Amino acid sequence: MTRYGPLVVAAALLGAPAAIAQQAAPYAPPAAPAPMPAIATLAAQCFLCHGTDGKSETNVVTLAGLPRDFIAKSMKDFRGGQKTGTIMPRISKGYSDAEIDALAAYFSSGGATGASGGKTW
Amino acid sequence: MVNNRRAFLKLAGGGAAAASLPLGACALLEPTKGKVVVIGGGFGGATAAKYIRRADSGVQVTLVDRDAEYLTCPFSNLVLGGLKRMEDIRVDRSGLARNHGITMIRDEAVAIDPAKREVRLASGAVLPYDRLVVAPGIEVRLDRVKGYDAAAAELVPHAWKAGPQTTLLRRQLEAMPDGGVFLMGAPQNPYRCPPGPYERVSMIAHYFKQAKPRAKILIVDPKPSFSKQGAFQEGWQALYAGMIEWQSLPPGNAINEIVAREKRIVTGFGDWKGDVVNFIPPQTAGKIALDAGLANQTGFCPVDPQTMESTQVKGIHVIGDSSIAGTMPKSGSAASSQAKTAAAAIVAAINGQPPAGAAYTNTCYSLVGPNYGISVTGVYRPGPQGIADVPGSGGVSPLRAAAEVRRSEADLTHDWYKSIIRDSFA
Repeated sequence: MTRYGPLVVAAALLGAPAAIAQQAAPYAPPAAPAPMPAIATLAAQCFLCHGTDGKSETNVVTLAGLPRDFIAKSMKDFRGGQKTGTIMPRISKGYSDAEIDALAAYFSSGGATGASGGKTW
Repeated sequence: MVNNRRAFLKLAGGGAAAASLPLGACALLEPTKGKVVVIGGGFGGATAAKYIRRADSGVQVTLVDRDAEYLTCPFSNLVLGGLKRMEDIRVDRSGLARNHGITMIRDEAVAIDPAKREVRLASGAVLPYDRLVVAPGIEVRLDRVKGYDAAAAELVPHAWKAGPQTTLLRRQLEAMPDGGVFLMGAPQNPYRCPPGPYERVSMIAHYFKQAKPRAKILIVDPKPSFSKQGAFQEGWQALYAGMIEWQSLPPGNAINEIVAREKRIVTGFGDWKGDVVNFIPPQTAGKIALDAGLANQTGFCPVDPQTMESTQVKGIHVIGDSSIAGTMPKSGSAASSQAKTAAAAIVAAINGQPPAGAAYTNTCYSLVGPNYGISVTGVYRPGPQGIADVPGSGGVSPLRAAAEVRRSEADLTHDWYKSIIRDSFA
């Protein structure tokens, strides 16, 4: 379960080059499960830590309004082991390329609910 | 499926019911696409109510909870450790009505009639529904282990629901002499919050280290292993070396009896005594879920992994600890996650659309010490055997991490709490 974890963290602490972390995490992204959930449902899973609609009220990063490419690259780098972190390396491995791209588009556009009648405060 | 019944107050009947519905009065005058009743206002129920209204404000949502205030199980172990006070884990749920137009009713749901699609409350009021969400959490069973009944729980608290039991256990710990033994009888699977007993031990060890450094902790456990075991045991060695002993019972042995007056735990492998004893008893789905026939022989409720709809009774979605959610743990985080998928499915059904697809996650932090956090995460999708992990995803904090990593996860533990409370209840 933690086969990739210790080396990824060790690499972070030592300032090791990304290549070492990559070796520690041979990884094939999952194929998109069919059907891919509606984006509002998929994105809402991120709200728990990143704040409702991706607007964080804690030290966790606000996703709403971040550049689309930055979100997508961050997720893919966490997944591939090029980027270190605490829980995101583990979480990112649960998402396909298509899901990551959809999430990046959703949050970069502000994290609107996209549902009729939906409202925030 | 869509039902524009407006005779809500008439059906509810009686002055007491009408008096308990002031917030619903305005909403009743507006046309509604459908009515949803939510039983239980914890992480699952509150999140479901909120996310239904966010997705479609034409759906009328009524949330029923028997308690005026909600105390979270997450962070109740921090109360035991002295890091938080009871008022710190009390949640303000007023935003559910104010921000989202949810009708809040303080009452107890006592019966469900799935044929008529009605919920009967203790006051006698009857709530009609097009879709029902059942999120009562767990029932802590005081009728399953010999000697462990409600009276015994006043001597040997379970403290597995935050509230007076938490305060009782904390007082017992404070009164315990230095050099005493805290004994925990850990639960068999499945139970609410798999890492919870071990975070509890960690927090009590933290308190002992400050206040009673000669005290010892013994865990008697019917399981051969436990959640985040490696990470917990590494943390115990780092912070509380020599204080905590984990005794796993050999296969086939269980905790058979609690002799509360003697503070004694009886197993087939031997007896243990403590100065303060905490027993975490067997659990089932909440009583209303059992009474409504939503549970199977396991005591928990099977659901469609695409929608969290009961596979036993149509039109009822069971979320959170009462449900059988595949490989997902019973946690506030999991309940909140399931609530969002259920909410989307309910809104789709009321609008005559196909289900919107399911996505599930779980993120649970545990504090081993005030500056020492560990986590477990999971990403899940519906599978042929129920909800299942996406292969290769999730897992526990790595072993042999540096102090800065543990401190970072301790900080994230507090961020997680603040964030999930906002996302679920505000």
